[in-house]
Amino acid sequence: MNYIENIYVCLAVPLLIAAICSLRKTRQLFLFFLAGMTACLLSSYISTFLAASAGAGQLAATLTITPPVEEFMKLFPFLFYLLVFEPKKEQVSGCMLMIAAGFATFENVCYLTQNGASSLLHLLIRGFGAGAMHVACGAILAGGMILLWDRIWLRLAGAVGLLSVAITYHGIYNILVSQQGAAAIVGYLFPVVSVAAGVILIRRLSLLPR
Amino acid sequence: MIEIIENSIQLVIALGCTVTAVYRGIRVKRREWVLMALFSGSYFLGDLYWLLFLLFYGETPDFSYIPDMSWYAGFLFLLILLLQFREGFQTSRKKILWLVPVFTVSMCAFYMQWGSYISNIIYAALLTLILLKAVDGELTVREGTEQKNYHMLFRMTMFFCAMEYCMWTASCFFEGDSLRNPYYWFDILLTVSLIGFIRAVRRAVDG
Repeated sequence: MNYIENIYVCLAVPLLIAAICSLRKTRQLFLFFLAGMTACLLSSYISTFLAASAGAGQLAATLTITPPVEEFMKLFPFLFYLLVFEPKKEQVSGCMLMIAAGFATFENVCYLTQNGASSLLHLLIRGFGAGAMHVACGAILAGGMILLWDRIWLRLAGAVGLLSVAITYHGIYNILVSQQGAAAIVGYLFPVVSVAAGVILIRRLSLLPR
Repeated sequence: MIEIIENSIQLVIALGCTVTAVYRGIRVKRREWVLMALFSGSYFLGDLYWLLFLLFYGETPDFSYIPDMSWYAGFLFLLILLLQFREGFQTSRKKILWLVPVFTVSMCAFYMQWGSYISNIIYAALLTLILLKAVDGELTVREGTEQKNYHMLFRMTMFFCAMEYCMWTASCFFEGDSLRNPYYWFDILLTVSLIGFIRAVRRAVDG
């Protein structure tokens, strides 16, 4: 039995207190991180419920249910921020990346409590792999939105398309890491390499004139 | 086996098209190339998921909605690309355009005998919009202006959609993992059309 809501409370309370005590810009970052953790907690409940309803085993749930649920849940706080606060273009990427980092951190903490923390090498590989995967999915959404920012219909259509791409990317990662040996290593490296490539590309493309 | 080989070829070409589009996007800094990269990139990710599932589990996915979502996204980015090029165009409003929804809706109803209703409706809606924009664009391009460079893009889009329909129709009547199955011929032609898109976008953007 893994009491993830208890873990969530323990992690969320210091962040919440720090958010209340901090200035506006820093507070936003704390709150996005917290939103990512909350999205992780809720997606865990929803995935479990859907897997039980569909009678799916652990592998089937990992390959087919978890990717869409997690990506949808990460998108909701981002969409809320976009629609309610109407941020500027340059504020968008930081928000999505903090949500993704919060999500990955909480997922890693839950993984540690379930599987133990004895093997540092394995945890390093998993930490980098899962962390980079969630950040890469967030970056697909944020980077794509920045490139399609001009008009509201373009932003909305782009968000739908980019969400679909992020879900498939997440699905590919889950297929690879659910294997043994070389395929799993490729799976853990896949997001790390794509994040590195993405950072270079976003920097080169960020001056798009049209 | 032939499915794995054919998927691998499509995967490599989709990746090549994505890399080319990203490279051109960086060079000329035009959004059209970013949209082209997103279109071929979505196609690449959908193919990669499908191929990995085939390799590891020896069968096509039971729930194919994850790669489907990537292909929907590819169609959506293609539609946005066409809308981007069609800015400033006048709509022709010709009656012949009614043939497009008549065709796509009839085909959707036909495919529903085999596939899921939701997936068929989404594909039909996206392809109707794409075909409407492409056919309308082809009818309204004015010769002697900059718009003449768009001919190839609109024709390539129509060819791509035609290959999708040929593939889906072939999969309704033919089974078997051999080169005698016409599904694979049309899929190869569809793969070739991805390269054609790079050329068509280049012509439309660079003139």
